[in-house]
Amino acid sequence: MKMLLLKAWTETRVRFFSSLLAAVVVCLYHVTQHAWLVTMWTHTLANDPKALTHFPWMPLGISSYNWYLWHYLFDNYLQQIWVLFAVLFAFGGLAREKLNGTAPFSLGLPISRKRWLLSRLLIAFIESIALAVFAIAFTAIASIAIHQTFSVTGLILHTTLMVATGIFFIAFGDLCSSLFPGEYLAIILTLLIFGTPYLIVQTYEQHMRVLGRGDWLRNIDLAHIMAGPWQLTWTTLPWLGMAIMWTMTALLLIAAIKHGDRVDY
Amino acid sequence: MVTALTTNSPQTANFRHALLWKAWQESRARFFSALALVVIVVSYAILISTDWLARYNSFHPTEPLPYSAFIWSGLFNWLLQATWILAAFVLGLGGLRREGATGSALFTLALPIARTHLLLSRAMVAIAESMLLALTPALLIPLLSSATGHTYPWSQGLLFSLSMGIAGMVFLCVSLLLSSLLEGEFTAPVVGILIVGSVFLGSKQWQVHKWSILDVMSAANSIDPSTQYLRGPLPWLGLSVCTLASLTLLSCSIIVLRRRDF
Repeated sequence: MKMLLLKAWTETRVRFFSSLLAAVVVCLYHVTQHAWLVTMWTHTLANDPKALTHFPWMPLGISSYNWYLWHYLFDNYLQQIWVLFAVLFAFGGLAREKLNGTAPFSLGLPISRKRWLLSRLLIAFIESIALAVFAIAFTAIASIAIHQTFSVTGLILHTTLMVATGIFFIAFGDLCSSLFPGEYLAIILTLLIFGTPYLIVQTYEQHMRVLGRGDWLRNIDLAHIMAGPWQLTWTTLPWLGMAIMWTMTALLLIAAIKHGDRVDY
Repeated sequence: MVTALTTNSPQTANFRHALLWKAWQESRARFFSALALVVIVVSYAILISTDWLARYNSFHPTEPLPYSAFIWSGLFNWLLQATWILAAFVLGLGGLRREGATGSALFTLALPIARTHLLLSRAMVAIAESMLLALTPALLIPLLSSATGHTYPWSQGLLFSLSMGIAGMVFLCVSLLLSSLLEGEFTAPVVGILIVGSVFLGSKQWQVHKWSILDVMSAANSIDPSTQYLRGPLPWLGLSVCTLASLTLLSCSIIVLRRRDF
């Protein structure tokens, strides 16, 4: 088992280190932009009487650094980067090895295909957790550096929710990777099948929430389930959404195992 | 991986056709997927436009948003632009370096064709596919707009699409260069995502905003602020700089590939 994990890690470590770099870029950018944005929002509110109607969230953005972090990181950019890399961590495996001609060597080992899959997914999951932990640790240090106070509990809770529900994307990425074995095809088809609806629904529902309205699409807004409300507590956790995402994750994993067992290499 | 069979006709022209055919075979699944992605994005935006604008304008009755502004800010300056960049980037991936990793590079290199031609034929196909992707919205937006009771001029769609396609070639050429440098299937895309993401975040910084390639792609500095129609000529200076940058990147790819030992 150790060797399988080592193999999975060796195959994905470039992606993992790249993801850390991406997290640094995203978190550093938004932390350093805070002072400038707050100044701009304060100026806008003072000079434009309609601003509060157009942007009802502005006072919260000015007064609460916790809201700022939640909005820009957990509800938008960090989450998107995390999802993208969670999918990329899950890419690979026997279907890709078949393309390179190395699948028979792997299959020649006395290890079941299910175990191959699970060891790869385990590494992908650990890498996803490490990415999220690294990102919030970096954000916390950067926030301290700019003399901002924040809720550590809030950061931990939001990160836990993002990773716990985002496991769905690892299962999804793995299934796409084994279903679409062509060169680079898995990337673009995953974007087509899931990336577009995920981003479109996220943006649309964010706008609807600003308007104070809701529609049926909010039930499939996975991004909002992953972000949760900005003041996250046990009572405000999206339990139903989480249960649905875990069920879908289990179904995708079963589908990936069944498909992996039936493929002729 | 597709191997071009060219044993019957040694003429250079036939080789070139075979190389173009090979590049098309290797990238057509990606192209059709990207085309579907672009069609979905454009259709989605236009189909929700009536409802979205009605809600938006009821919320901002004193400053109603015109349909043309919705199309430019929602598609040419945001969602379509992002989709196109990703699609163009993926279309540029592949080539000899990747073939080296999968073990088929020697078959391709055995053909009596210079490496420069191999790369250029792949680049030509990728450029043609990317331009087709860029021009699809120029056709789709006016058609779907009229189907949903709105109007959007053909000329505006065409000019914005051309601007996006020409300036955006930089991203395609970055992809070609990364493909010449990196052999892992997912290494080049991941590095590309980092580059594109950094460009996106960097272009938001006011200090470098006027140099933003994304603004050249959407012709942001040449539009009317209220209607968001193009009010003057295309940003030719920006487009020329982008074309020059694309050619430089392509030249770098050729140099890297010629020096590489397979």
